[in-house]
Amino acid sequence: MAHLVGLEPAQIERIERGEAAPPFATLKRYARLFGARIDRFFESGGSASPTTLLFRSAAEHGADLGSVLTADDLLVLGDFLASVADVDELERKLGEPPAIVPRLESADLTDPEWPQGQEFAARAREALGLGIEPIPSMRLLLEDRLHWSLFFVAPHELSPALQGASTIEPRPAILVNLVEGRESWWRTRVSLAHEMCHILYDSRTIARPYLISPQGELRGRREWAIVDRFRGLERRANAFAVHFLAPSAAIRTVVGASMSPDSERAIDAVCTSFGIGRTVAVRRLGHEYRISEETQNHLIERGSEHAPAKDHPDAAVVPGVRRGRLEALVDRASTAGLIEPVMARAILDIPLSEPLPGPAIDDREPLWTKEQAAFARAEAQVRASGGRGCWASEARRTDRGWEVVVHYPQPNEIVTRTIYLADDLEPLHA
Amino acid sequence: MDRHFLQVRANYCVPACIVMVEAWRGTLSAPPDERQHEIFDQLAVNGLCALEDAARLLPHEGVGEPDIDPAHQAVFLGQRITAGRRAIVTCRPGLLGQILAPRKLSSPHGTLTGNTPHHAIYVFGAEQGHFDVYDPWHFTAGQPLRLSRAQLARAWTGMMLIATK
Repeated sequence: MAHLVGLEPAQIERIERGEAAPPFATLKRYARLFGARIDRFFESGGSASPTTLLFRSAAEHGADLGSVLTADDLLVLGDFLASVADVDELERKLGEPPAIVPRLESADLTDPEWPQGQEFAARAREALGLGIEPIPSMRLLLEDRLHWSLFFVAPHELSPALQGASTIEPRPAILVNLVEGRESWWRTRVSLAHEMCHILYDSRTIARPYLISPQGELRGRREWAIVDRFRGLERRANAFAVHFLAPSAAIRTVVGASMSPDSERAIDAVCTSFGIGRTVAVRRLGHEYRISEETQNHLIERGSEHAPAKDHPDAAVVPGVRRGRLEALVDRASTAGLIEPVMARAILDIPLSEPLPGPAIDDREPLWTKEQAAFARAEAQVRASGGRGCWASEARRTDRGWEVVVHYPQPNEIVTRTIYLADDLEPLHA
Repeated sequence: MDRHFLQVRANYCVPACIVMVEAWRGTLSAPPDERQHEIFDQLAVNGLCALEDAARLLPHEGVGEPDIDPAHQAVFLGQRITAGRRAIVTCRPGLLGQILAPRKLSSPHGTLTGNTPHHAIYVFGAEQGHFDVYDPWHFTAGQPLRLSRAQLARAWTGMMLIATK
């Protein structure tokens, strides 16, 4: 915990014993790590928060999550969970329809094996009335039809080791790491379908309301064993994803009798029809038509001359945990007067010195001038070096950023200092 | 019980707020004006009392070293007040003066103006995006003041002391 919040272990112990008060920045970081907005963190405590469960799960299974996920990863996961709660609150305020999670009965959910993925995908399709038709957009299916919340992050925000995450509490929500960018929409579709499986089948049975999904094969990677049978769950979700997107009967219909299943035409047809990538298409064809592993690998390595279409509904995603759907909800709730501008900024993590997104109306104008933001930064710097009771009186724009004049009392004089800040308000040396 | 006290002198906002906290805690040990002088004598450095130093006299959860951009902090302040705490926060006098100007409050110290030393006020209520505050600069008439979270954030320095019973 000390490592994660950036303090010494002794400092954390003093805070936890109530002997020291943490700086606000530390409280905020705690709340983020525990997946809660700061007021909710203090209302309910952190004991039931998903990150606590994550740590407990890892500890119970002897895993070293810290060797896999960085502190920044955990902050992004925390932001995801906090944003899900914000979406839930805003949707309730706006009277949005509740999320739909079809109840899908299954013989054995507790001992996951990958072949179940195919069966589960068929049941999910049946429950949703999808038949064997291709799914034009996973995003629209999940967001518009089931009212689930989808979040996307750019690869620089989250380790590529973490492909996605999902939670069912307080509402079904999925986080997708756009590892290869949003242009690789076929990959996004598989990630969404994978996390969909966790929400439909796993979230209730593993007694954890959320799951994270690593990149690649889990064999021998003890550190990821955060819940029982995690590897089986992941393999089942992978199988679910590809069968949900490209059902066996539909593949056979597309390939028909006129194409050889290992031909370039068949691969392209499957990619195009079902909105999946070449690797998945080859593996699905291989599975359906018993194509040898060696031939499959050859087909994958050979690559295609046809680039996938750039325009696809599932490419139209907005990276950033607090962007997209959350931003749209804040916009609507602000317009309807259901949230005030400070809370809107706290939810979207927008500084007081920046306008809120949306039409330029009074309520969305910055609450602080840039000069005020420079004041606050310069005062913090002076206070940190012992200038108790300091105040800024003047901020001048310069070529390099800002010069801020700050004063503070000493027994025999009022000391005046000039603080130099860059445009982004980071301290500069004089 | 929350009570308003006028600050005895123009540079007594922190002592006046401490007296308000002590009145709420039931520990006010002297007449309010006299107590303000005592506190000033204990805390003042070159005629100014820093909010950070008020922590020496009050049980507290911490003196908030401000977030550089206190939107989250304003939400946090609301939560702590709702949870039964009281707070002293500092504002930029000129900005607070502008926000309060339409209320036509009176003060023996003139108007709050400029980027002079920060001005402390006492926060004792929080509800649905509003704060209830007592401003020691102005007379009791017209108080408590109800400020929207945006109004407080506009004038706030981000500094706060969260006092406990």
